[in-house]
Amino acid sequence: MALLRSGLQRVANIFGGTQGGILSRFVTSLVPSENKSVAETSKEVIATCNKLIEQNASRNFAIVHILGKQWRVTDGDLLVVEGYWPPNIGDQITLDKVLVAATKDFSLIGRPLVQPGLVTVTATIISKGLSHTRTHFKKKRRKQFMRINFQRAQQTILRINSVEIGNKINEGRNDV
Amino acid sequence: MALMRRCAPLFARCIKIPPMTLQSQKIHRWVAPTLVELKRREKKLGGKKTNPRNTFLEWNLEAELYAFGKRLNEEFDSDLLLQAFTDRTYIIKEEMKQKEMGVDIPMKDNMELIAEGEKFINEYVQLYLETVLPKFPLEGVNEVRNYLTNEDRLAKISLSLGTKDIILAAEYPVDNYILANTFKAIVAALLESTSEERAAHFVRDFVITQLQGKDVNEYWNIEDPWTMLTGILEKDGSKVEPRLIGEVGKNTLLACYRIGLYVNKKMISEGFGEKIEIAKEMAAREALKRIFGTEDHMKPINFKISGIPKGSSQERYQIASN
Amino acid sequence: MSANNLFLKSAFVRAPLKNGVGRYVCQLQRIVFKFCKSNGASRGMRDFIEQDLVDFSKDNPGVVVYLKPRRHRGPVIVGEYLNGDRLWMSVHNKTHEEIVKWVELFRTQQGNNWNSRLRKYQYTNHPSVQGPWTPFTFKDPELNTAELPDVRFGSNNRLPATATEQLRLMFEKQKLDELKTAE
Repeated sequence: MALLRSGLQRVANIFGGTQGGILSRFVTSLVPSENKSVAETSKEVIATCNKLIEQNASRNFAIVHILGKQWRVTDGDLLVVEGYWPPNIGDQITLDKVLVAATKDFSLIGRPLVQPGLVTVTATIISKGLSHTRTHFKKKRRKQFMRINFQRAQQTILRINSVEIGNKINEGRNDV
Repeated sequence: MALMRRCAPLFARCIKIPPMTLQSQKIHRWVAPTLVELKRREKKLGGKKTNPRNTFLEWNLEAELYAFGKRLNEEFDSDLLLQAFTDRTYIIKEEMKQKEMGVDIPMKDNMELIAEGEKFINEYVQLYLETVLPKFPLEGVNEVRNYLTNEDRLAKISLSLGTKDIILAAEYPVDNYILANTFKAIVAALLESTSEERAAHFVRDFVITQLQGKDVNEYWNIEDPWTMLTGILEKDGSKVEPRLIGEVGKNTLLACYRIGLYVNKKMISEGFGEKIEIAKEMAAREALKRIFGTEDHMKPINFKISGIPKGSSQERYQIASN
Repeated sequence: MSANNLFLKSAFVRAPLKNGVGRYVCQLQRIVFKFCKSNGASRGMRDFIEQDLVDFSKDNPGVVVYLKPRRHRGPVIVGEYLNGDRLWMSVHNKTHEEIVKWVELFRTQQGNNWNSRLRKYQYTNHPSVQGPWTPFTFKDPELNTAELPDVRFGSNNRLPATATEQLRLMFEKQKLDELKTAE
């Protein structure tokens, strides 16, 4: 029995020894281990997030999808959207494709979009103009080939007015 | 002869040089001296003159004033608006002219409107700031208000509203002082031609929004944040304890210390610095920001409050009085 | 001689007077149409003035429209913006439709950005909301009191287990099993 104990101790030394054993490579001492089931933990996390949403005490930001590009936006940002886009100057729009919404303390990551109606990102179109002239110059040596093209792209400037997390997580929409 | 023959390539090389220098001489030789002479004559006549926009052939003051109101979505009384744009210097100049011609057409300047507008702007901005920054001390609010209503700021706003060309003044381009005064007069004109609420929204949309993207703490310089913090916390009966919670590069040029402030063994803020004292001061500043509700990640200032908000300066917390 | 005039200038995205935060203000303040009443180059411009100009000024009461007929001079559009920019454009021989499009562009843009290249397509005053990363982020607080060098903090624990270590583990396990069976 004593032998067995000593053997176990040796194994324990190998696994969790203070001398930088193997298991210590996979364990980070920063995360306090709690014996809670996954379902319970997620419930608690969502409850905490809902409480924070209710307090509404910090700046929010969101990642929105516009015309094939993703932008990280927060209140008061300016965006330049390039290419043909119908909204006209002075229009107030809401950006519905929200991939990530976050506050100071937590982030909601969509799969691929966050719950519809949860986050409202509003923006104003402030300018629709053209970019500078871009020169496309092509030349092949010794082949008598030369092309020069000029082009200007349409640019729409957006002002983000607000990023708001309105409802609560995992609850139905208020407005429906 | 042999000597000449030997020198021939040298001569040839000498002759070859000019084409190289000729390449850069595409501008005619007379251009530079002509420009210099023109500049000299211009200087002699008293420098370059910028003609006022309102002396152009394509200028209609009435249309400009009409469009000014429409552009900003406001209904101005046209006489009041014209009065708001008429500066005192212009009146004096016109009176001199009229005396010479022997006529007398009475005109009104915007002096009264300026005084009225200034009073309204100051009061409204103060009330608004007290509402949107509920925990910020009165001293800080006053500093932010001073920033928003100082001459440079108002002149800039006025300029971006397109008043520069419309202002009737003796000089052109107009001074910052006149630009700022005109803005105040416009607010007063709006106040008189519509309601107080419309004027308030006008000030909100053009003056208060200047705070967008700004850190309000920057306008209020706290001399000694540590004393202020301890003073505030002592009233609550709690004590601050600074702790060194991180350091790198000690005894080097790139030293960095991290200090955390603890109250009842709970961290309230942290600060970084190249010296411990600096880190402590920064931590105190952070803690103050947290107390005043103006952290970096604070809720963005609401620029959509309608009507005239009720301030709270009576019961508002003041640092100096304590 | 400086290179300022040789290359395209660069700029960042900006909006005059925090446009859009409060109310939206159309940035075109006045537009001047210069044209000739008889010359063929102004044909499109004259068509525009006859057919669309009244509607344009009705739809945009905030823009002052001036017409400037001049004899035997080319047609020109000049736009003046609230930020002080002035944009001059020749519309020589341009058709009616083309001029409609250009005027629409003059109306919707916020200033003269034609000779500057945008460096960034986004502008933000708050690059980090959840706080920027520092070398102290996610660091073990125990490190403050630790006496370095310490094997616990200094050991390289990023490598996978070596063959020797695996063998040693197997050996120890085997010995343990033997002990168990012996008992």
